[in-house]
Amino acid sequence: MAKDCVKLVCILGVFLLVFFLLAGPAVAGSDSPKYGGIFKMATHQDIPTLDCMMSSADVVYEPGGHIFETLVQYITADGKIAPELADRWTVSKDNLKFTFNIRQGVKFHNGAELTSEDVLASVERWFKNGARGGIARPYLDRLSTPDKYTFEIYLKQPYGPLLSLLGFGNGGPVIIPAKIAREAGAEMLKPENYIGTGPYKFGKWVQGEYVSLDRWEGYVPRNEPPNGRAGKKIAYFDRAEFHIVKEEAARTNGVSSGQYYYATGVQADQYDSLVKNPNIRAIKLEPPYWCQIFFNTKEGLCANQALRQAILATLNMDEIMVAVFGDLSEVQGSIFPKSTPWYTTAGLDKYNQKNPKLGRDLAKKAGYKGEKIRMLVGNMYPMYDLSQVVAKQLKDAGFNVDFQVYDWAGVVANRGQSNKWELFVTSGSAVYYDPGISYWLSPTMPGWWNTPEKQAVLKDFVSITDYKARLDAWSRFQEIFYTQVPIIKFGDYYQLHMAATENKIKNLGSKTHPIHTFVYAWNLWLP
Amino acid sequence: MEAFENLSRGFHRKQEPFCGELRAPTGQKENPNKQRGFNQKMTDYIVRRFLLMIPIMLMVGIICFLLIHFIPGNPAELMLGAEADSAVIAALTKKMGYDQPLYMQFLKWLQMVIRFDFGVSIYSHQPVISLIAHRAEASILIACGATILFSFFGILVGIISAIKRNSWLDQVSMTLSLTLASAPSFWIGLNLMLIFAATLRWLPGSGYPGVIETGNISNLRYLILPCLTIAIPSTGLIARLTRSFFIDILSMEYITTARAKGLKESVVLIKHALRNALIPVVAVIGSYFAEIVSLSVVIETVFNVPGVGRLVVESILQRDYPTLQALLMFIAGLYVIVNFLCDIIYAVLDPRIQYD
Repeated sequence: MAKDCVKLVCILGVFLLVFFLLAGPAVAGSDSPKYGGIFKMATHQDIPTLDCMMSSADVVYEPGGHIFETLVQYITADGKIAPELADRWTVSKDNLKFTFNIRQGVKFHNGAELTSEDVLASVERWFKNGARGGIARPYLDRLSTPDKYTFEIYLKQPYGPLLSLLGFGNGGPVIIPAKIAREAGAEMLKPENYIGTGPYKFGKWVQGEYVSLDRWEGYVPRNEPPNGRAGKKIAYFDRAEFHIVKEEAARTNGVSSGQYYYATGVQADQYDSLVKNPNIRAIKLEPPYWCQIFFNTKEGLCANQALRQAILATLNMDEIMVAVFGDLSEVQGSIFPKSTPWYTTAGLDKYNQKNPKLGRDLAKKAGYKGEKIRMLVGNMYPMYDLSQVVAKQLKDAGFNVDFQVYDWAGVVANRGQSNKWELFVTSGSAVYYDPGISYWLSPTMPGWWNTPEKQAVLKDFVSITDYKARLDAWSRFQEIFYTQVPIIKFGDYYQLHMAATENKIKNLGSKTHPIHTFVYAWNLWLP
Repeated sequence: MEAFENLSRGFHRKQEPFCGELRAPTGQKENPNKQRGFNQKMTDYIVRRFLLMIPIMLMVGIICFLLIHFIPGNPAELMLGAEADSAVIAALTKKMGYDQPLYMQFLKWLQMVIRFDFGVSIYSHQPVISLIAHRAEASILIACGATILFSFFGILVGIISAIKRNSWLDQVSMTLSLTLASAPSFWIGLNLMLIFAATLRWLPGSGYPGVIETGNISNLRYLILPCLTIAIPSTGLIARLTRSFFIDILSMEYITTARAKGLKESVVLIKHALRNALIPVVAVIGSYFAEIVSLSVVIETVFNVPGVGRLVVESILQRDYPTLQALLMFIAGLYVIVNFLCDIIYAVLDPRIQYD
């Protein structure tokens, strides 16, 4: 009897094993990709244009990055630059010639095939008029197209960051048809000319409300497996919609109720409540952003380096960061975060001194007699919050801060005039795969930091290509940064976004689809 | 509110209450010549008011143009983003024509406006008129819905309170009215959203896909919560105003005369008292309507409804000059028209009001 029981249990066991082995793939099949549905995202900012080449704003690239593609892509899961519209590329031994082999069979949304002529016209427009084109312009010798699928860039001198710049989506050289690129020139593209090669094509833009994109049926994906924004891109959603939702509570309710799959712009103090909400995934966006003071080094009180050093000595970064970003802050002074290849401790002995007495003494030595220090303040998060804490610390240390609040447009307009301000507080993404392409390095950026020491070390940095030598140059740069104090970094903070849970949208946040600065609708699907 | 009340009371004091029935006994017809004269005067008045709108709108346009351009800001910088190259910003500013002297920009604008061309948005390149028309749909629907709700319930509660003056019903309704009128609208909105959208899920809590664009009338459900959010505090306010005016009227001698004459109480209240009490209330309702259409920024933001108010704020923040200019003129025009309509309604409510 006992033997029979054992036999029965064994047979049952084998039966169950076979059943689960057979059923397994079927169960997994419910997670397998399927076409259909609308990807809906809520963004907290207005979308000013979709011309990604001309605008450096992140909010432009969120929808725009679905329409337009670049020669190479640097937002990848493995952190390496990967091909996108270029099949492969070679760099000459003297680092003066870059040759790109363009993918064949790629079609623009107007049906025309992508050729090297389109690449040339786009890259040419970018060098002349693109938001970030000015950084690389001095190094360009010429562009050429030896044949229909080959594109070449010749440089006057080696320029290390070029490849990273070519992979830049917001303000980088996205590829558009030659005719459109040449006609647009310095003007923004009009909506009827939003024609790219991406997996989604432009559908509709209702200003201040939403941008809607439709799947581009003529898209030919790459063969490599998905690797962040690079590799195989499949548009499973029929449409992708980017809704402008200004009210944070409306965005949170929207994601919680399933109206949106993703939303940006959540204040740090909401982190705990988001983590506790079972219907929402709180996303700490990697890598972190940085926040900082920009000084007017050209004119006025803060053109005095000693006064800038006095302010640096005064500030207590722990207080500033915790007050504004709470648990999402990281108090560290390296220009680039720890998670990037450009982290260095050079010059950090001057960071976070939190010594108001020393600051006062240094200011006195610098000849400061209590004159007004005009602080431009943006009325939005986190600029306003940061400015308040900074102003309080400076006032307590005896600095006479004149707090001037504007909307963002007002700040941008005023900061361009060197006689209107001494300092302003801002924040933004510091994470570029190459420090050489950071916008604030330009001597024409408001702040106008343009000393011979800075320019010499930067020249070194961008003209060498070996990583170790470049890191060494970057460390020297950071030393100068902390001595000349054109900018004071408070620390790093994680941007907080929110996403729908795995049971509402599949693959978002997976290893091949990490959420890295921007979210994108391809390679995602509904359950 | 106090200002409205004083204004309305002042207006009311200038007029003797209309008690047509007392002066014109039943069965006696009005002189047809007198009636024709009134109609002629009214037509003249309407034509004159329409013609007056032209210089008013022109002045509004000029003042708006100057104010808009005195705010610091350059749309090219906003379009290109904070990290854009300064040479690129300068090139785009030039292309857009914003590097030209202000008087040149003004003349260009004037030339266009004379041709009724308000230009295109500098962002989406959509014609400004279609942009405003699209946004006006939600705003006008919300304003109509809310105005019907708060006018009906506000006047009803106000009359009942006035008739039942100092009763428990009056005290309860007036306390409730004061509470509602004092509650911030965004707080009411967020609570309604929490209850009806997030918890009960009876109504959508955010957005408005449009009825004209989609052809789907059921999209009106998106506007129910915004309408209620505006109507709730306004009902309280209108109820208090109506009660106050109604009590004033009820204490007047001609009402006592009407009652002494043996008229039914309902006739006294509706025919004699209500018409006079409503004149100042109409002025307030009219102003409210224009305000809801043009300036419901908070409600539109809370419910993410694409309305005129939000477009105003967005255009200011983005320095979208053509859109902002046209919007301000649209709002000014709306106020002019609403005031004009209110004047006509006064005449209907009180035929003795004459516009010379």
